[in-house]
Amino acid sequence: MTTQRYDAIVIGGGHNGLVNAAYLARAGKKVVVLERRHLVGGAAVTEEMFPGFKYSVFSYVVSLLRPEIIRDLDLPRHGLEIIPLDSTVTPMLDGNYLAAWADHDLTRREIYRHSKRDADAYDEYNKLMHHMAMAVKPILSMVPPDPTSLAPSDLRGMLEFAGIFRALPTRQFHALYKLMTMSAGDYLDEWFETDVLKATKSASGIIGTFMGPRTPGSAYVLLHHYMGEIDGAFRAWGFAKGGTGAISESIASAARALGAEIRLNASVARVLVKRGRATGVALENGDELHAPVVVTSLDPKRSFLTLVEEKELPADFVEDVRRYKIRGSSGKVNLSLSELPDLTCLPGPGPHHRGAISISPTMEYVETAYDDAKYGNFSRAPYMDIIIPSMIDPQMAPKGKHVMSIFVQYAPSNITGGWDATKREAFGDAVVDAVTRVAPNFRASILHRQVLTPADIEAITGLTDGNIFQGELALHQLFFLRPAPGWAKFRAPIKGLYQCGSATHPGGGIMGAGGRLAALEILKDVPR
Amino acid sequence: MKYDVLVLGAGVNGLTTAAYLALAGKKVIVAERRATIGGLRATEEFHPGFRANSCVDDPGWVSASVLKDLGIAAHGYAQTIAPQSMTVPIDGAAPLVITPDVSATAAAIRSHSVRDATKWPEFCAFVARLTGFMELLYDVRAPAVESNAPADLLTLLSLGRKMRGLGRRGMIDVIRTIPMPVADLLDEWFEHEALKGALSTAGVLNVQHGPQSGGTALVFLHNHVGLPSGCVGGRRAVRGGVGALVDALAGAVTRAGGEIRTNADVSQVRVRDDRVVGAVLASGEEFDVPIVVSSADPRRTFTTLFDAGDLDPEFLHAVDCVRMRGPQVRVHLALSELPRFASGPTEWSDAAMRGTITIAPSMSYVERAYDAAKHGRIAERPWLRVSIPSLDDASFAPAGKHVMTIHAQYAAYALREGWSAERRVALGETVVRMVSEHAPELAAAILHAEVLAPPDVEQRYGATEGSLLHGELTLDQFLIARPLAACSRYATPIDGLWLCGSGTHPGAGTGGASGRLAAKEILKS
Repeated sequence: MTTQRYDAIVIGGGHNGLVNAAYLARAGKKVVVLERRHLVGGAAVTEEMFPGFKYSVFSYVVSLLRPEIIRDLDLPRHGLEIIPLDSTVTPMLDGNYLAAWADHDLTRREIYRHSKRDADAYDEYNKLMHHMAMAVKPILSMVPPDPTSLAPSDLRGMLEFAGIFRALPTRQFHALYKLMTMSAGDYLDEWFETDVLKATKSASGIIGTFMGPRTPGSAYVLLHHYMGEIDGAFRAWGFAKGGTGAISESIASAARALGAEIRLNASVARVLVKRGRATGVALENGDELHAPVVVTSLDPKRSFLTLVEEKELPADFVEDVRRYKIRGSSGKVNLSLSELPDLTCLPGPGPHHRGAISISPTMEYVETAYDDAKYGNFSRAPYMDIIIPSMIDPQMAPKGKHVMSIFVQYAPSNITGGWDATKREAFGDAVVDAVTRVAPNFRASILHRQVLTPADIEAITGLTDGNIFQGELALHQLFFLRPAPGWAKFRAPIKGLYQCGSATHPGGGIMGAGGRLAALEILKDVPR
Repeated sequence: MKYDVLVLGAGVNGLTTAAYLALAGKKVIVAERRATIGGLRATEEFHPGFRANSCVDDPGWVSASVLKDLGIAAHGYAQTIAPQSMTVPIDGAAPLVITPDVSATAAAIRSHSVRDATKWPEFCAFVARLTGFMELLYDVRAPAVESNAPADLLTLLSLGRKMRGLGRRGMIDVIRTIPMPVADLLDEWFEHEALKGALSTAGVLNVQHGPQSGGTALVFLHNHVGLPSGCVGGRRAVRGGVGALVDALAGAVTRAGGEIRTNADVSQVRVRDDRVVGAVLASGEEFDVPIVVSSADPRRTFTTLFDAGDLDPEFLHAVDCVRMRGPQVRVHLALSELPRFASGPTEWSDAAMRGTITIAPSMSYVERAYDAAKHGRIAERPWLRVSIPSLDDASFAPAGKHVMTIHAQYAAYALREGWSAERRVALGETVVRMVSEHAPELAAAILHAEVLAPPDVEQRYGATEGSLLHGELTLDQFLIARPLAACSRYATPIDGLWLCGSGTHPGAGTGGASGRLAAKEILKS
């Protein structure tokens, strides 16, 4: 058994853990990141699953990564290169399709093809969403104040928070109120009449949540994703050259350059606590590392219900963590292909192969996919977001071959009877069937297939229930309630223990905001 | 005859507004389209000798202010309100009766779940704490959050202070609970499926949402405002039916010098230079009146009473976006005798039959029923609330006979296949068959059945899409957004036109609170 001393220990080498470590190292702290797996990235990894075929195994696109992080850590110098995903094509049931292109005029013309009214509404809608996202943006960089506290800093925070809303023109204020409380479906009904347009837009309101497009609360997720489109460094969904893992690698490289140490294959067994203070961690192999600051990037259930002994925590906090809703709702299917899928609605190769293909033909289709999940089944006809990374970055597959990444919803973590190999393959088959319906050559083109259910995602990454956001982005789990009331400021009820994962404000997606904000809070607490 | 104010609709809120305005010395006329007053809260004969509460069984929470200000307490109204229990059928065992007596209910729950029994008193206190706060919120108009006027800031500040009064945990509970799905809320407290299923119906009552929809916890709390602590899932009952409240309010109007006219269908409100100048009845009769207060729902008010050019298109679009969506069907049965209720060999107690019998065996059962309406269908197995008002009140049926009313959810207003007479009959049969699973001889005792689907409620009572709430009472149509942002404080874009119906804050089930607040705003101007 060996022991080592650090200024700070970061548990988990996902993007938030890495960002956190980089910022702490940048402030001169001696930091170590402990990653359980043999590579950094958590759910943002690229792995060569089959010779020559590289998969962005879990997370596959990026839009929300905070520009200040890219700047502060100089990520492009560390190899970050993002290529925008220009288009989204939705094949329809009748052989038609709906496309959104990078060229705004082209998109308008495309919508006009479906509805003149919607083409008009589209500009108006985008303008309003843009304004709201701009207005709400500062909240992403805020440390959530405690609304129940009378401390001057909290009162100031609440005033600032309220000020953001009150500064909005009346029309936008009320639109924002609707966005926070309505279902994506109802919200879009107010704007558009074209079903396939609403279905495709509302799909971004359900990603990563256990909600359907008609579930109130899903409209907020529309805005959450829209935020990246206006404020992300790339103004669109983007694909990292080298796959999503390249993002993690660039942050890790920046952290190392700033002096942080990253240890792989270092699984933390528990957080050491002495007299109510975190003093370090013990690894599975028996090693102990000591530091006055321990930062966990894991989800709160894993952090507080498995790494910390219950007696070290206040009972109501433990209860709040237990209540915190984490339900996995999505799966991932990664494939190696001998040829590109030939869409019936858009035959032959085309620009659509460099963008996303959305399987969301009607509102009813997506909602029905959700209905299956509510009662403990995977969707027989799932919603899917498909991209072909090898078309964007040819390095991802051998020449002439392709890799395909399919995000699939819904695959509930609490599937009746639990997930097993048979269900996993049946789920994979449902996905292949659904894609083959729109691209008949698809089934025969498959060389390899990797199917990841929420159970697999949990087993590999450690994300509880395989939930990609470390807890649902529902109104009652946001801002000062994320992950637990009173503990939204990146601290924990144990002195010296901090949280920085997606379960903290502002939440999921490859954003890195939690990692950065937590580091800034930590630096306030510890002497420079 | 010259009037200062014409109130459109003689429902609870219309009458309340009229009474307040008349008491303030205004010359008021209430114009009611139907031959009888009461609107959605009427008690009417549906078969010779048999009466039923036409749309809702609960008279609603009547605030202390309304009771006192209008003198209806003095005329004996409040004393007749009695909290009713909820009866939860349990497979193969005696039903669970949730009475306002907290410890008795906890004891009853204990035989099904020790854990739930232990939590029951705490849950009742939790609900009482949150609804207590909402009661304060329901006693004042919606704050103008975007305004910087001193008066509005004061209102906000005072609400903030009331909120602080709840203490740290209480504040968190309010903020956290309101946007939650009622299913999550109940899952946090209880484990027994039948208990959760029955309670969850209070979170989706009259709204087209399922227990897993966000914001249904708000609906749950809303439906408990003003109920005594412990009366969870229950309701109030008034001797003589919900119509008794309407009669009491009508009494207050006439005592104050107001006039109530039935068979007076306002077909148009006349506007000149964005100002109300009068109203026209379907009969052609005209009133020159500078103030019209509509207790009709917002959609009906703005889309049927005005000329196309009277309102801004953007405003009309917002009106069209108000979600109405009545999801309920009501069945009234005239019975030749009281049917026997039993679970297997166990006969139900008298107390069990007097409560609201809630047939909703689990939350996922309720959710599945909702899925049907969501997709434009009728639930194959709806959840039901059954009551037999004639057990407690002889005024409902001839001696020895009985009346059963059943609230069933869900049946979409916008049914894919469309509504037809056959579909109504079939739905009535489904509902009767479901109740018969607990009361085997029910069908044989039926003398007459009436089925009210959402389009019937729309046609008979003028409630758009059959919404008993005049617009879903969900978070996005609550408080500052009720019925829509542009008229959340009773005033409308047309000078002299006011809203006072349950489509406004605080809304349906708050017995005249909307009417009272509207009257106060009108008198202020």
